[in-house]
Amino acid sequence: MKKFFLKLLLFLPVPFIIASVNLYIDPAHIFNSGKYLENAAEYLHEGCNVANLINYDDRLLQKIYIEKMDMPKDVIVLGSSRSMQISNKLFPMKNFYNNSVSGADIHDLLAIFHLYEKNDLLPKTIVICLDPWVLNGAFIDTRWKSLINEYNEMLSKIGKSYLKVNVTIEKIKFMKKKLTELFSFVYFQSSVNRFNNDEYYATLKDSLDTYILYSDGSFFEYEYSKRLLDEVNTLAKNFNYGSVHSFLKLDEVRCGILDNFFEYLTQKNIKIIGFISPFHPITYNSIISKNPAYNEAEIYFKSLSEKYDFMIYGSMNPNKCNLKEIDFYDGMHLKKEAVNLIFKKSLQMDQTCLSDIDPLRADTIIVPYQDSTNQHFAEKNSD
Amino acid sequence: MLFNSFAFVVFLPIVFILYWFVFNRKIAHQNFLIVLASYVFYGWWDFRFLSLIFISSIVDYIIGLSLNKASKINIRKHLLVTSLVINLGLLGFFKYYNFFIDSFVDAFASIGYIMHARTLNIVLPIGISFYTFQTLSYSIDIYRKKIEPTKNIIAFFAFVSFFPQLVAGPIERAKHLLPQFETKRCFSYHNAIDALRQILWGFVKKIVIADTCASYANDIFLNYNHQSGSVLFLGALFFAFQIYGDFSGYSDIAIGTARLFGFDLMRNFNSPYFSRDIGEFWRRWHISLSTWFRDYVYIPLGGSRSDRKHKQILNILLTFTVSGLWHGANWTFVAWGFLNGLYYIPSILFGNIRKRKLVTNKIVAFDSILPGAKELLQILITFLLTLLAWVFFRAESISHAFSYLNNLFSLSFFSLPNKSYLPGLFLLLLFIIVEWIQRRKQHGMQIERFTIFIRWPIYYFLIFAIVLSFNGESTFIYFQF
Repeated sequence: MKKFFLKLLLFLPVPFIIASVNLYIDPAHIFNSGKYLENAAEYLHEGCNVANLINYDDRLLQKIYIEKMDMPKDVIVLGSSRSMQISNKLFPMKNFYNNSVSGADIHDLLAIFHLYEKNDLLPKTIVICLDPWVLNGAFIDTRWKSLINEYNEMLSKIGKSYLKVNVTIEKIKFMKKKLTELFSFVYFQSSVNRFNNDEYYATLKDSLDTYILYSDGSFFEYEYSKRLLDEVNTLAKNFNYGSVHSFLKLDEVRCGILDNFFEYLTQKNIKIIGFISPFHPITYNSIISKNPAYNEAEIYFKSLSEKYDFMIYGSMNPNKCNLKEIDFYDGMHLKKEAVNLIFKKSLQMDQTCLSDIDPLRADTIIVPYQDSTNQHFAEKNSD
Repeated sequence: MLFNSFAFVVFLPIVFILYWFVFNRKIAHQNFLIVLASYVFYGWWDFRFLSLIFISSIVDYIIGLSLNKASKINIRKHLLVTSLVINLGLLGFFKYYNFFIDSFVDAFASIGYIMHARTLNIVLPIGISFYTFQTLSYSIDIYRKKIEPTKNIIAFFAFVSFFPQLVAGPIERAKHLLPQFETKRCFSYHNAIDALRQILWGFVKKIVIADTCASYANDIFLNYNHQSGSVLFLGALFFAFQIYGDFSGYSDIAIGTARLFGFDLMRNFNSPYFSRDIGEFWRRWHISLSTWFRDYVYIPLGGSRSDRKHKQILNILLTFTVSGLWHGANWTFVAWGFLNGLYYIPSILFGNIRKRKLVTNKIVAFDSILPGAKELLQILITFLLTLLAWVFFRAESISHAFSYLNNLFSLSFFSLPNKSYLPGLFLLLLFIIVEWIQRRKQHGMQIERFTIFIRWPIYYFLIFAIVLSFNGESTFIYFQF
């Protein structure tokens, strides 16, 4: 038996190799996230785009970016991947930054706003992407926890301190996650694949065959851009709203937090623009027929806009925005050109937003980049 | 609990250490630990269904003892029928209730009579087909006076619930496994090392081969309407190796794990895809089930003893159809079983089953490196026939299977498939080469003949192949049966 156990010891290098490779390559930057993103934030501040920035903690990037800011922005965007296409082109002559993060929840909206307030950098206008799952108590994305302290602090400010999350428990959970990833086979596979991938780099180009995070915080994804209509429609058909965004009823606690948040923004004299990103027609018909909570969420957002006197651009219903299947990347992500269309029409109606350029900040205005416009939109815009 | 889960990686060493170092004083203690560990292993999935294993165990334990005491044939028959009704009743209710209700409703609907019958929301208990067959064979063998019942209740419970083979076999016979629970087990270093090799090979088959093939096969079967005939052929090919890797991989892990505890389980697969005829295939594929159906269904029906060919054909078709139904409550499995039965008919008609059995008892090219041209052709034909049958096994419905085959046998069969399948095909080629080289061995990793400088790089290569292929805790196909 002793010989048997001694022989088993010869397999000990296996977990050691896995842990070492995971720790050294760290493809998702779990073990050295902050350090990895420092340069990316620098590039963005210098007005450069960042190419090939993959598998990173986008909440942490927002934090580092905001902490490096020295002047407030005129317009910022808070939201999910569904608002990442909003670019500074829509707000010419304004100091603009898009702080959207993937899978953003109500926690992210509060936490990122608090980063601005904490650093005394409150913007004049905030575009808030009103995703339906913001009001879904069953939404389980935990990525927001990178900004757990900011979220707790913001809860106190809007009078909801009793909802604070226990930071110690979350820290223990995070440590457990780190330990799991250290020995994870799947993480090891990502580490090995990473051998072939270069690191991110600064660029002035606005289209490359990789992911680009623009200097205004919006993004370009090469993989999305080359999708054919058939592919998009298949993705829309297979949109898995059931498991990810299973949404049976509006969550009262979340409704309360959002209400208080808007009240707080109004008290601070910050102009609010609500943005409801439309769903792909196929996805929309599917979710609306099966799940009335989506519709209730839109009605609730509209009630808030009336209460706090702000405009909502867009609607979950693509027909209301005159959008077709070709305007989407998948079941719930609009192409940049479609977002531009919604915003241009709405901004024309919302005159107050165009009138308040601060001449003192004219030297900090970032020149908007030229993005390519496809034939479909060229025709639409000429109409 | 899945073999390919983190829970099992923790569970196995704990049970192993307790078994050999803490509970090693008495056989009864070790058996008790096995029962406890097996119930934890099963309860990890859903503890409520432990009651079914308990019921099945206690019923056959009591019936076994009663059969031994009873001398009157009538009483013995009643006792056996009780065992059959309870075991098959459990199996029938949990596995087939909804299937039969739906089938009746559909059958009446096809003649214009609309019935409204209630189906139930029944969860299929994992492994129920395996352990009910194991306990059934115990009672039947006692009834036939082939074995004596055991009085040792702990040993019997351990025999029924033995965790390595509880949920997906091999389906053991009491005559082979039960005595092992009643005798002292000794730890053998060489046996344990080879058991680890067998477990490693099982994981390679499951994670590297089956799961990789599954990703190709699932995609092709799902989008079969948009694929050329040649790609559909590859879909069936990938599925053939998916199911082989999945199930024989499970069996290797089960047998290897049992060996770590000093038990010898029966071999369940023996290079089935190198078979030269369908009879040989069924002597090499899921051996524990094939022999079960042979002993408890085919032979009692009359087997091949009848002089009338049509009776022999009927027995074969019936056995294979029931065997198909055993696999799942779906007409696709019935069709798969029936088709395999049809493949036997030429052998019955030409009366060469026994002759062929003598020829194919040994693995192909037993004394040579490569098969002869005739053998190669036989292997290819047999493999293509099984491939055709696998389409029914994998399809969602009978109409899905026919549409798939219809598209497969079209002109597009001669088109060149996409290059994206090349990595999968290359992996299969490697696997087939290893299987061929090791075809005379008990398992693919029986490599003790090599020096340490060859063995250890192989171990490390395979371990990292598993690590790099692992894509989550995927279940084994045969769990659903």
